[in-house]
Amino acid sequence: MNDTPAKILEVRNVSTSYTRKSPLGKVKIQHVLHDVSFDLYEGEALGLVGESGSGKTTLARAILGFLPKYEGTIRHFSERPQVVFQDPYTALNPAKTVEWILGEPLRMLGIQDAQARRQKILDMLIKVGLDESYLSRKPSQLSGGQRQRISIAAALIMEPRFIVADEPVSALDVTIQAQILELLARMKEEFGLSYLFISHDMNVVYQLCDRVIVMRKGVVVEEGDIDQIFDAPRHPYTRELVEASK
Amino acid sequence: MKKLFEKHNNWFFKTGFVITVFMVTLVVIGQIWTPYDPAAMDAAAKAQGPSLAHFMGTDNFGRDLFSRVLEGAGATLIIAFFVVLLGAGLGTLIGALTGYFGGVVDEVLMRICDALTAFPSVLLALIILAILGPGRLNVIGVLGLVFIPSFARIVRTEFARIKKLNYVSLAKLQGVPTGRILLRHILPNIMPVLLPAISIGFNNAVLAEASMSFLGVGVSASEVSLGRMLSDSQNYILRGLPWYAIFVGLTIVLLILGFSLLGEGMRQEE
Repeated sequence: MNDTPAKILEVRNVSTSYTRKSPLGKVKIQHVLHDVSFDLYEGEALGLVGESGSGKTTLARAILGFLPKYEGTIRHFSERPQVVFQDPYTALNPAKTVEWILGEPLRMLGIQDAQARRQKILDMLIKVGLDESYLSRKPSQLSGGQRQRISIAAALIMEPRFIVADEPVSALDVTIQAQILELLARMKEEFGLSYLFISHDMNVVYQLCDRVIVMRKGVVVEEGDIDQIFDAPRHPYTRELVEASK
Repeated sequence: MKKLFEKHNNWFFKTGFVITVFMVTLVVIGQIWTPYDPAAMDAAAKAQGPSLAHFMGTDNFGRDLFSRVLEGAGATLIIAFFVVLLGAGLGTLIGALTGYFGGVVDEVLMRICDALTAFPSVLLALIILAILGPGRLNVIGVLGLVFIPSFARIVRTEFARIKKLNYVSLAKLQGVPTGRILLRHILPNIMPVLLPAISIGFNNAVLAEASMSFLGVGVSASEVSLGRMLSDSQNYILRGLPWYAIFVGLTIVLLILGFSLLGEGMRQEE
């Protein structure tokens, strides 16, 4: 990494809330995100940690363009980001084969030749640790870990520079978790990717990320290098998360 | 075809398949060839019971009942086919658009569907047909229209559910155009729900056509159909000649049984 890495993503003062009416007619404003700002640099793996309800998935949705309304600005300095979702069971189209699922992004990139697509798909399958015997399989014939490998392949085949990974290993067994984390780390090196890695598990973040943002109830409570956060957490909530992971 | 059997490896599906193939084959053959001309009268063979020459017997004019049942079943099946095509086709289109996009259009169309559903569809069809008058095209148009809401509702629910799933979000991120998302990404996944609905819809269409024609608002007097024949057969029952009604009734039952079993078989695993 050179001295001044380029920015991939800039999030400035992002807030979003919804209003809830109590049975008595009182209007309550519920903040989901409150004044969230951070930058993501090229080649960096940024962890976004918080318990469920901390707003981290909403933030991911905003960054991916799935949140219709929010305040503040989100600027992308790369092509569209790609995503790896938590639940490998709904991330892949159950009616389609692996070849079709991985072929779809290529068709969208304008690669019309079936032979050329197949070659790219095969290369990608091998990179994520699978082989051509998976081409004709449907998601129902794959294990959770295999599905997540296909999800990663589907994200990478678009050749993005930036991937949002929303709890990509939390639905998997511990041994499979380690394999997928290792794969994500390897792909980051090979393709020079930037990650926004969302997790509730400090331990998992520690294994992959360079820098961490800790969120609680929609607010960023702490931000810093992974070692600093892990060894000397300043905020009591961060301390709690670190303790829980040890 | 082999895949279909592997997927639905149950007796409902197998029995339904055999009955349906048998009936449809008979009807298709009946469109090309029948033992007698269905309209040919024979003064020497009036109102006979089943015999070697006329296996279902003959009617008052000496016309061969088997030949007439084949022709009538063909007419009924063709009507049912177009009714389902119209109902399922437009229903799927409306359900897909409202389910995926939601919003005001969804509200308006679904309230119209609610209003239509609140009214018994066969009764509604009966009233419209009574106004329009009998005839094949009228039957197809009216039954097709009253079939739309049930399909629209099923399809809408599925599209609204599936559009929130991650693989649809993924397709959006990959830049897949909306039309393609609807057709290639979501539609194949509603087949487990849509196919049984189509087979049940087919049944209802056969029954509805038979009911309409039985009541005299279905196909016109010069046309044959199972419902019209069943209506005619009433006179024979009163005169102690039940085979007419039995054979026509049996044909209707077998047709419906076949499709019902197919539909049930397809639903078993889902």
